[in-house]
Amino acid sequence: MRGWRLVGVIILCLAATFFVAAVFLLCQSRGGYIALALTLPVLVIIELPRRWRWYTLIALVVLAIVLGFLVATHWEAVRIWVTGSNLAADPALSLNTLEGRLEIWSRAIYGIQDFPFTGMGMNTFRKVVPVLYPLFTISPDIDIGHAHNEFLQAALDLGIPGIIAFLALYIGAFWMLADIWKATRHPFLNTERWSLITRTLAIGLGGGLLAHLLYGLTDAVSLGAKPGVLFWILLGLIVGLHRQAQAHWVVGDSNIPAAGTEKGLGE
Amino acid sequence: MIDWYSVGFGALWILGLGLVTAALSFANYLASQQKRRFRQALEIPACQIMIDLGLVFFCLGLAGGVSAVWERLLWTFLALIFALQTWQARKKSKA
Repeated sequence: MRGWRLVGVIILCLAATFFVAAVFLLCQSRGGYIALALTLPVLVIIELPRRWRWYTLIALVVLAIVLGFLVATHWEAVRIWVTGSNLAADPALSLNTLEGRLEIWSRAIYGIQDFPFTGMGMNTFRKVVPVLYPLFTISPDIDIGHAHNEFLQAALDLGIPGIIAFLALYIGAFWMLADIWKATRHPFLNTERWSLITRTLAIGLGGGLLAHLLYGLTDAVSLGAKPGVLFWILLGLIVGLHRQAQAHWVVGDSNIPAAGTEKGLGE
Repeated sequence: MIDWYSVGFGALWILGLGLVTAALSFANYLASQQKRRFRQALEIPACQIMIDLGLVFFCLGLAGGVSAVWERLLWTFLALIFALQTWQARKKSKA
């Protein structure tokens, strides 16, 4: 890729990044902010050389401990600062929905206990909860569309077999990304240009998947919901990249072990 | 409100089965991609480690979820056996 095509691709990527960043800021999702804050250091650590990786990891752990200690010792001040100021009116920064989430999660767990094999059916949580498991801290007028946890929601929609399959999808996708990552570090393949592009794509897709996982711990995009298609696109891109990379490393050189072989990339 | 203890152990055995399912699924994918038999794909160390680790989690999850002492001991014993197998598979893959 040379000349104006490269410039075009860079401009397109920058425009897409700015657009997504703007949407991300405007959506005011705390889960999204936390996911980004946790995912970015992970991506940086993965990209660093091995020696620097450990130093950075130790520095981050120390920072997390210090921050945790400060917040724990000044918790009341932090709480008053957040809930007693204008920030409390900002849904992205208020803490008052934590109790509500805990109550919704408890109802979701009751639902899973009552419908373990089949789940209660896709997108029926909002109809079933007011009837079987009424909420006390949340007004019945408020429509609770999902369980505010992706994994609980998957179990509610599809039962425990469904959540097992859903987890397997996540694990399989991360496995493929690890496979690709190892392949691009292979001495034979590393000299080629595709290695850099594939690495960049792998880290981007991995970051997206990790951020989605972290976001899914406190919020959810239901499996049947329209925006959920983006998650499936993400999985499809990961599998596509793995297949493309696999074709490359199998055909390229007989010294390069194929994915998943004893000496190779699936280890 | 939430029994975090049972949620934690419940999540553990579900995660274990998720790992086993992922390993079987990945082996099936590799077998179809590389025109190999499913059994051969399943023999690669990565799949072996994943299946054994999944079974460790599964047994630990059930050990935490049962009330009878003998059941808990049995599940813990099985978890130890699978942990040993995981370690052996890891050692084999590095060799």
